[in-house]
Amino acid sequence: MTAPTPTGERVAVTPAAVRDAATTLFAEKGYHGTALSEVAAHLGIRTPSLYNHMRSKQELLAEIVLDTSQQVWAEFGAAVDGRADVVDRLREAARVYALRHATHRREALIVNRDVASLAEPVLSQVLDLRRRHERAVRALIAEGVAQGRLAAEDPRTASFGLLEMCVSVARWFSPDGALSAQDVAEQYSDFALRVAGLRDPD
Amino acid sequence: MRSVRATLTPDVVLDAALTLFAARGYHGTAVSEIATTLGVRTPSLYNHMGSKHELLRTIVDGTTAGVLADFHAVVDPADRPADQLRRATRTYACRHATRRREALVVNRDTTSLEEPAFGEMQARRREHEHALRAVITRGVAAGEFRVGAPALASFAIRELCVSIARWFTDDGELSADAVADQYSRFALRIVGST
Repeated sequence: MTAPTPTGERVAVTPAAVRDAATTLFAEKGYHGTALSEVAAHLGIRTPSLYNHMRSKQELLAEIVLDTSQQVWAEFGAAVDGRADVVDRLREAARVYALRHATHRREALIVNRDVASLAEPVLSQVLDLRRRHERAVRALIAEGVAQGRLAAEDPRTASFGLLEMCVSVARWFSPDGALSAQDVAEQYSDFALRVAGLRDPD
Repeated sequence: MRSVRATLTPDVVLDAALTLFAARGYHGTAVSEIATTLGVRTPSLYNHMGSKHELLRTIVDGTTAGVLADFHAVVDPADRPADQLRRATRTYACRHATRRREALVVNRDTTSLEEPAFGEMQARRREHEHALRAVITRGVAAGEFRVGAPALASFAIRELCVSIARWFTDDGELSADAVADQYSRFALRIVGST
């Protein structure tokens, strides 16, 4: 389906396009600060037409946050899968997490700011995925400490710290900056290992 | 009828606004809700405040100026870079454990600031970031730190400390001081302090 934009140009309006516009606006103004009429205006359609492609603002938020949380968990699984060395697993887990926060900044900002606006049961599903991810990283650190490879005094604080450090990449990274997303992710995975107590990761 | 409500002062209004902004965001908070929290009618509230934007501006100004004042209070220019970094990150981490409302508002709602407040806030933030980066650069030059990208390390360390406000609770296992100690050690490790 297409809709006329204010300039008369016709763009395809699909559920994916609606979600993309909502992602941009939620990231910029927050979930509470965004009206559906603004999502419609962004797409160059009238608000009633928007309802052909979505059910509610809440459902848009739920889809964005749940998909993102599921992807984070899947990426963690892929990062540690088949790696025997615990330091390699932690490094790769931190690298993909930092990389995601450089490449999916809008989603990251929404997940970190607007989760409290989610309704059940999605809120619990998201919190559960997040908890699983944090516990899994914490378990890697504990394993590294048990093997004498890492020196973190408290694996829980270290996992909170290194994960949140990666999250923060979304707040300052710019694709036009001096460093690529890959470069930043590499550096942050080194920082993450240092936080976990690997004194010299190189 | 006797009133039992607390005396309304600009500070009381600011405190109520801070709590609501932190919980619901600046956009998600109406001035009428601040009035409800304080048990007054909205028109009465305006005797004690300017606009909602002015409340946000006061919160952000006070917080970012406080961060800079903290830094200069604990960092002695004559100290070794490792001691400077430890003290600077310890106080910054501690602030984010003990002043969580301010931290959440400053890190989420500053895009709602209008000029010139927005520019002033950015300048103070930049000043803090540059001061921290200068400590790291001195440490690298002195051979005390071993890190390839001082700018990235200073971003990482600052954001690491900021994140404490997102998970710390007063009734958790760790005190604010214990968390601040751990985080200052994280900072030293990130720069490869020897």
